[in-house]
Amino acid sequence: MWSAALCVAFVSISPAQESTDPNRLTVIKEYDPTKLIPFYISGYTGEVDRVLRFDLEVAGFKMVEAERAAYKLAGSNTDAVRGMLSDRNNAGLFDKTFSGGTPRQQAHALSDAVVLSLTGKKGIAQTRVAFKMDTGRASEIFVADYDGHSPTAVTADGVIVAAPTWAPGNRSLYYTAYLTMSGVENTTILAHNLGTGGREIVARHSGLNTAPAIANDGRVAMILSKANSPDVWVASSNGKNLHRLTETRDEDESSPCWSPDGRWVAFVTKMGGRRVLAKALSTGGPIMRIATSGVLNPSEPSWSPDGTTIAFTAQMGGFSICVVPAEGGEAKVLADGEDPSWAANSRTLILTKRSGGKRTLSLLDVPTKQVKDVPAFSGSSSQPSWAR
Amino acid sequence: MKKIHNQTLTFLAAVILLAAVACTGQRSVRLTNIPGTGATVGGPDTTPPVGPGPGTTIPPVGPGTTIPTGPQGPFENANTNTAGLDRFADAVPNRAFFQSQMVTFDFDSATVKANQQKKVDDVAKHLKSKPGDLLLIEGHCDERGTEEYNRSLGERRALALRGELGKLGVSGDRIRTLSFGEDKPADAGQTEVAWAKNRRGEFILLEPKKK
Repeated sequence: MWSAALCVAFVSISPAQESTDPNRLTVIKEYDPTKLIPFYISGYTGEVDRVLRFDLEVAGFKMVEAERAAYKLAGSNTDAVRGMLSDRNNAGLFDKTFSGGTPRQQAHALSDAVVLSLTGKKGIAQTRVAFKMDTGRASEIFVADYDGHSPTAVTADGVIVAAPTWAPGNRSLYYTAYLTMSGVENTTILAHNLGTGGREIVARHSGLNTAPAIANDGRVAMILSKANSPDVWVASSNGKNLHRLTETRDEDESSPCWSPDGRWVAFVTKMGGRRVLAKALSTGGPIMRIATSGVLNPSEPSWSPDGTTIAFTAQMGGFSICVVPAEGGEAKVLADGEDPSWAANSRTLILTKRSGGKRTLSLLDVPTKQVKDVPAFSGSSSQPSWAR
Repeated sequence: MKKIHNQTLTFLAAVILLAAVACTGQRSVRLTNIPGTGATVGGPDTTPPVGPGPGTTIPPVGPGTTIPTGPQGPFENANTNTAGLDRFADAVPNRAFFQSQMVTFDFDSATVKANQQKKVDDVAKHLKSKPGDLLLIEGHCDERGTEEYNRSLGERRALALRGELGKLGVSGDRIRTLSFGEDKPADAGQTEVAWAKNRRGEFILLEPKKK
């Protein structure tokens, strides 16, 4: 009985596997991540072909003719997805066949195998994102594959929602919902277990409760105005053990985020009348400015998982996605857009773009600045958060 | 009894079938998992199925359609000090009452302008004459800011109006604030005229429930 149960579990949770011969890891010598990798794909059809091209372009590859390609991927998807990766001299790097799952999942797995083989870094093609989508009068939190495929509604409250963010382990989401309870409509920060559907109120204090950010150890940083000013507060994962991090009487803070080591919380505030990025120790202490030279009106900081870089939005007429070293310095403008969120690879960002009245999601490969748009959903979509 | 037998047989057949499938899956040479992961596609990055709970599934929503589904379970552990909100629970909102007292703000500013002060005075006068009435102040922004920045700015606007009312002798305990940021524009247009209308604070009178 026990072994049977194990067998069942094994079958049901292993939808795509690869068989590989030989299983070699070949990282490009002196790989320069700022250069697009000229790449040629042949032999695939339909969805698998589209998925492979999309994934690899997001990862910093450029599709070119066979003669100009530094690397080639040949294969088929008639039965299972198979991929043979070779260099420009046709020396084989790998030959992998994927089984189980959907052809789409197999294609994502093959993309990740190519990325790992050529860059030495784990791919992000099998990850998911959460975001907010307008549904007419209200909005709901959605989760989708990172490329926007199979979007699924997480909430169904029929109220305004905002600022979804993943908790470590990707088993729950925190977000803001404008919930009416006992006849009182108020912003409420919820922790939503995606496995059970259980929801816990993390913050519903008098005034504003929004912008939750979760540290790797589970602590929550958020914006509360319970002390009569929108400030950064830090609490345990369930909202208890609250302490106030910023006590700026006349400036409002927004968009806190954590350093990956959990020491710092970065956020937006004003100094001398100008909007700036700043940080404070998560246990409390003075507010220190994070310089973003060269750009104006920074907001929405996102600290890269490797700790080196902060991505943010600059507002100078339109909105621009920028990066700055985590300790501050010269900011680099990368692309149009706002509200960046890092993938686990500390290389790719998901962001929001505005066009007319509608907002859509895009993916940005930071070193090459290559942007790929996520196909538009029915409703305006924004505030993406990458599971990592 | 017979029924139980049938179920047992069906279950056994299923187990055998699944075991066979599992073995077939393992038969091919050098089958390995996706690099760097456990047995699942995507490994640690893959989230569990999204849904309201075991036994219920949310149908996937394809691009181009919007089917919000699956209400969630009851809230666990209402872990907040709602003392500040409780006194507003039974109040009856009257949105029309202070409609002409809607206050507008300059771009990216939460300063109550001198030419808006008369509206605040009117609101204060009424609240002082009706000690049983409460007030909700909604803060709103135009779309020319990032979403969470605007949610804080809208709150700051509402709090600024509450501060002005405080100067006029209205207790802050009678007033609560709610920021919608840019999520509830008064005018959906993308012109300066529309934006000017959207940078606003709205007073909503909360009257005591009639006994």
